Amino acid sequence: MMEKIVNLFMGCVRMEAKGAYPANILNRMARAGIDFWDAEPAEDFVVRFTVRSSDQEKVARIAGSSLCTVKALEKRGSVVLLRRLRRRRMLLACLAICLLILGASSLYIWDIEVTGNEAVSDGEILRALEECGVSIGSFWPNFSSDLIRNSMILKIPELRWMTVNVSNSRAEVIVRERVPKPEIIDNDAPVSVTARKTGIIKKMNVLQGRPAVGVGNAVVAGETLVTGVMESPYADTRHVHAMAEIEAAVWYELTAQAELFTYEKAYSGRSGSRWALNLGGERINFYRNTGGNSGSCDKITLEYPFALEGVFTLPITLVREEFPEYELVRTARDETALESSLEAELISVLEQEMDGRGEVISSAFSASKQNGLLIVTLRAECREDIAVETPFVP
Amino acid sequence: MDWREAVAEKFDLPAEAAGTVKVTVVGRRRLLVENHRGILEYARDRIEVGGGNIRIRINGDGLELCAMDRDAILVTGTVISLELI
Repeated sequence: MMEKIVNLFMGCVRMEAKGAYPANILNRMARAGIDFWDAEPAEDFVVRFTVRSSDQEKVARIAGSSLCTVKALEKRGSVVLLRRLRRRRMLLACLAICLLILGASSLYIWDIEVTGNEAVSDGEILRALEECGVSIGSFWPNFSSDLIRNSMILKIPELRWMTVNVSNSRAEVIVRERVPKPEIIDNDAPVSVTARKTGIIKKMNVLQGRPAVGVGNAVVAGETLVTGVMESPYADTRHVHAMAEIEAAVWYELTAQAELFTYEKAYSGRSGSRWALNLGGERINFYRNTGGNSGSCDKITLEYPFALEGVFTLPITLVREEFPEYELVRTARDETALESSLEAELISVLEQEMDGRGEVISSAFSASKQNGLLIVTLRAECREDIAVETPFVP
Repeated sequence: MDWREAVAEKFDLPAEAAGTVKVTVVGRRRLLVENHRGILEYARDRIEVGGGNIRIRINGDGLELCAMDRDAILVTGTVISLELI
């Protein structure tokens, strides 16, 4: 296959040899080291074969000594194509202009890809890049990676490092974000321990400070459990950083509801479509009505960029918009599945409420229907750490 | 026995190394003749290749000389039978 492509590129000739013993010319060509292929007997005393364009004259000489006559049937390959094109000057000129445009367009940015960002959004980075002169249609040989990096880090302090790599009109922006500093806890700051939930205290483990409540006491959210104010009849009042683990029984009643009926799309099968061309950010619509279709319909946009992945990218994108029509149909939902999903949702909410600082002791679900709604209630008893440090000013 | 074959046999050499014709058939669609002495007959249904003191007759259908050089001939098409004459 590869050899055939090379031969086609170099140029080859389909030839016909006629004589009393046409196989003789094949033998002589083989002995003379002339490569030939696709040899086939056409009719009596005629054989056809393909040779390279450069070997055509040698074949003619061999044919003379083989008592055969040869003629060229067809010439193929890039050399022949170029010879043919020589006469078609306008076509050649258009081809040259196209190549020039393609070459010139490769000096501009037509696609920007941002990678490595998590906290900072793509849009924020792209806006800052635009202010630094890097945008769609920018002339990339003018770019200075150092200048862009310095400007970008000043504009977006969350960035630690960045670089812009340009390849085939595509700018790949690689960023590295700063790691946020951990919160430093001042263990000497005066702090009291308060309750973050309402409940009954089951266990207390006070490491520092004076307990304000005891095991078995009911506390409300915000109530002081361990105070950082240490009073003494023999010395001045001291203010300490109270620390404690307070385990309490907490009760939750959470409710979730969902409609028993829903509206689903039923596609009618009718669909409209329209085309547009995006030319370097400028949109050219191939339709008149820009208001969209009347009635209920989805909008599906398909984009076909004029690009060869990894080779070149042009700022031209063909856009096709499809509008499949649908009607909304009221349908009943599966109650069992709906109830299960609401229960799962409530368990997830309960886990969020506990914030990983407790466990469920007992729980029960109840469901009821009211005004077309399914209402699911979760009642749970949990054992959790309700202590939270609250700073105070002495 | 051809003298080349006799020499190869004497010195424990593969016969094709001494220039004896070698035929390799790959399925029904490909046939390679090495160390040939040229084509003797060429038609769509029959190709005869010289191999020194033997002639190789390839009978088939739609036979085509895919490639040929001074040492080897590659025949494609449907090979039905092979005769050594």
